[in-house]
Amino acid sequence: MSDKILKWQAEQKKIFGQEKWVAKICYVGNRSLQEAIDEVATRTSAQQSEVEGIINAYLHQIKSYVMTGRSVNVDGMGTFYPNLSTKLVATPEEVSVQNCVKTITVGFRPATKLRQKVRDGKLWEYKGASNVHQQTEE
Amino acid sequence: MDLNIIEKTMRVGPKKGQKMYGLARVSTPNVHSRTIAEQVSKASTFSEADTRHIIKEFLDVVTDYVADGYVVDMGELGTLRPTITAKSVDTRQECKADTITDKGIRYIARNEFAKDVKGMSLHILNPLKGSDSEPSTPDEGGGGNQGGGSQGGGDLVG
Repeated sequence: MSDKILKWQAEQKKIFGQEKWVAKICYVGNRSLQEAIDEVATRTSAQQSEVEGIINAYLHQIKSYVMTGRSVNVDGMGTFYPNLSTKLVATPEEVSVQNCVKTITVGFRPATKLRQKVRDGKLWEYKGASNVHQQTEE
Repeated sequence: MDLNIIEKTMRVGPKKGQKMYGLARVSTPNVHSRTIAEQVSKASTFSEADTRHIIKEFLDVVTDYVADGYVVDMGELGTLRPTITAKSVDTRQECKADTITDKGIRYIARNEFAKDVKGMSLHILNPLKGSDSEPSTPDEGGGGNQGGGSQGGGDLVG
């Protein structure tokens, strides 16, 4: 059984002009790349600076491949890819990068393993902020 | 990035039945993280096995952070965070865990990365002007283009 917990809280917001309540995720906080590197260093026999060098080179390579138009499959995490948004034109003569390419973004498709890890986590309602909200309403 | 001209017959809307033309990314095999680990290993003093172990631990740490509800910085790539999808309800009392319909992951590319990708150079492999090659279709497998084997792998928003 997974020991992962995602916190959520009820939030009031206007949807199509109507006041509604909707569950919203509460992030525990931010984790920097350095924190992840430090944790990896404690799990391996490598020096912290060596781990940092390898991880930075690894991330840089992923970026470089995506920049050349390739999709990169990262084990257990997902696939990073250049996502081309295009439009169609009426004749083949009109086809050009200027006419047809709207934008290019970086896409990410999470791996089943990561999706499952997140889905297996329990949900826990964080009532602090919503209680304050209710109190102020009353 | 290499692109192919594709032909598409519209199936719905006012242009139903009409042939339209666009561009799609030439499909290339995915680069596997193992290949990158090999390359990183060659540029370092670490063995391939040690490099792969460090990378595996890193990916485990990052995915654990995401599943724990953190927004995780991935350096040059950007951030990953968990998300939830929920139905809206009329009252506070109705807003319970069972209104949450799905959990997912959101990726936001780092500004520099997004800018670099937006500015990447694009090449049409089978241009019509000044070329004898016919425009390829996804079904034809990109006949007449230099890249070969294109299946029109890009996303089309028409």
